Amino acid sequence: MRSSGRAFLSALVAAFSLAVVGTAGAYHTRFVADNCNWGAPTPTSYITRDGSATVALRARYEGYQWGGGCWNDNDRDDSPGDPTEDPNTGGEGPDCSGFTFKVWRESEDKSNAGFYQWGLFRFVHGPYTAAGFKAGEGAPNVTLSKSALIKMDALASTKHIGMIYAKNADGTDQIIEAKGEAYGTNIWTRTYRGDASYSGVRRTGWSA
Amino acid sequence: MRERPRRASALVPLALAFVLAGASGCARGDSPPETLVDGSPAVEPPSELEDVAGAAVVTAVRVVHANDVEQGSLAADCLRGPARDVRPDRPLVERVGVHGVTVTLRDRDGLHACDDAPGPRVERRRWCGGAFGSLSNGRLLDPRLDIGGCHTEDGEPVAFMWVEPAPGTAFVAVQQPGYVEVYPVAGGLPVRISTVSGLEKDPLGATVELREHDETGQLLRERTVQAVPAG
Repeated sequence: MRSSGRAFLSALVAAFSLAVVGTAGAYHTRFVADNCNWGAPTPTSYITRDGSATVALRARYEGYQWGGGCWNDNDRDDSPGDPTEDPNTGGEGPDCSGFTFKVWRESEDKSNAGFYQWGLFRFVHGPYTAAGFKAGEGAPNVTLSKSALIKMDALASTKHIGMIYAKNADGTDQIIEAKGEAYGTNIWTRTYRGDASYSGVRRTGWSA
Repeated sequence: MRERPRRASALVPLALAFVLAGASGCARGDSPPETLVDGSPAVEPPSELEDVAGAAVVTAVRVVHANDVEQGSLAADCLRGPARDVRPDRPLVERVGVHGVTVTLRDRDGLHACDDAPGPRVERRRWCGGAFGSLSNGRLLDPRLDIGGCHTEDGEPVAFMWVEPAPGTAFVAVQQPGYVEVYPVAGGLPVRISTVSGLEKDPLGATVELREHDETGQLLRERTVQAVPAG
C-alpha cells in the first residue's frame, strides 16, 4: 500500500513536472501561433518620420525573434530566452531587418516602393536582411552618406541594422533597434555612425 | 540551417502561403533543361546517383584563388561590386546553375555571396542579390535565403541559399520539377544553390528537397531544408 502510494505520488509529481515543462515549452513557442495573423497590409499614400517613430516605439521593450515580425505592446518580452538565430521558435518580436522593414512600411516585393501599413500582430519579416539594406537593395531603399542621415534613417552593417531615433550631441545616436534575443527591442545609444562597417541607408518617399 | 521533416513547418502558415509556380521547369513541361543559365550545355552527372530517378543535370563550378581572379570573371565582378570590402581568406567558388549564378567568398567575418539571374531586377545592377552569413564554429546558423530580387527571363522569382553538406559529400542533388539539379561540392565552402520551385510568397520562404551523395554516387543523406529571410 505504502509502495503504491509512493508510486502514485511519483507519477503525480512526474505528471506535474511534465505539465510545467510542457507549458514552459509552449510559452516559448506559441506566441506567433496564438497571436499573429497574415492579413493583407493596408496601402497608404504617405509616410512621415514622426509617424514611423511612433510605430517603432510600440515595439519598445518587446522581444526579439530571428526571422520574426509580430509583437504586441505590453512592454515585455512574451517569449524570452528563445534559441538564437532560429526562425522556427515562434517567439515575439522582430529581428533587426524585419523591424526596419515594418517600420518603414515596405512591400514584400522588392520592386515596389509603395507604403504598406502592417498591423502590429501581422507576422511579416519582409525580403531584406541587414546586408541587403546595407547594399541599398530594393526600390524603396538607397544608400547615402552617414553625415546626411536624419531621424528614422538607418545605419546598417552586413550583420545588423538600426534606425536613428535621435542624434546625441557627442556624435553618437539613439538607435531604435531589435538588438538580439537577450536584449529585445529598444532604444540604445550607439556609435554606429563612427563604425566603418556601418553604412547609411534611407527609405525614400517620406512626406515629412 | 533548418532541417525539417517533410511536413509543413509550424511557422509557415500553409493556409496562406502561396506556392509559386514551378517557373521555367513547369513552363517547359517539366522537361529537363538542355542548357544552364549562361547558355552552356547541361550535362549529366559523371556517376549514377543512388535514388535519383529521371533526368539530372550538373551545374558548373569553378574554384578561383583570390590572387588569380581573372578580369571579367564572375569572381572579379563580385569582388569589384557587392564584395568590394571582402578580403577572402580562401578560394572563391563560382557556380552556374539552371536558373542562377553565384559567387561564394569567405573572410574572417563569415560567408558572402553575389547572386544573379537573367531576368528583370530593381535598378540596373550587375548582381540582383547577395547574402552574408555569420559562421559559428565554422558553420552557418542559417541558409541565408536571398529572395525577391532575382528573376528568370520569364519574370519568375529565383531564390538562393547555402546548404552545408555532410562530410564526404561530393554532390548535392536538388529536386526540381521534372529533373534533379546537381551541385558538385567545391572549395570547402557551403554550396549556394538556386531554385525557382518551393518558393512561398507570404511569408516569404523557400523549401528544397536535397540528397547528398559521395563521389561514387552513394546516397549519404536526404533532407528537406526550409529557409526564410532573417537578420
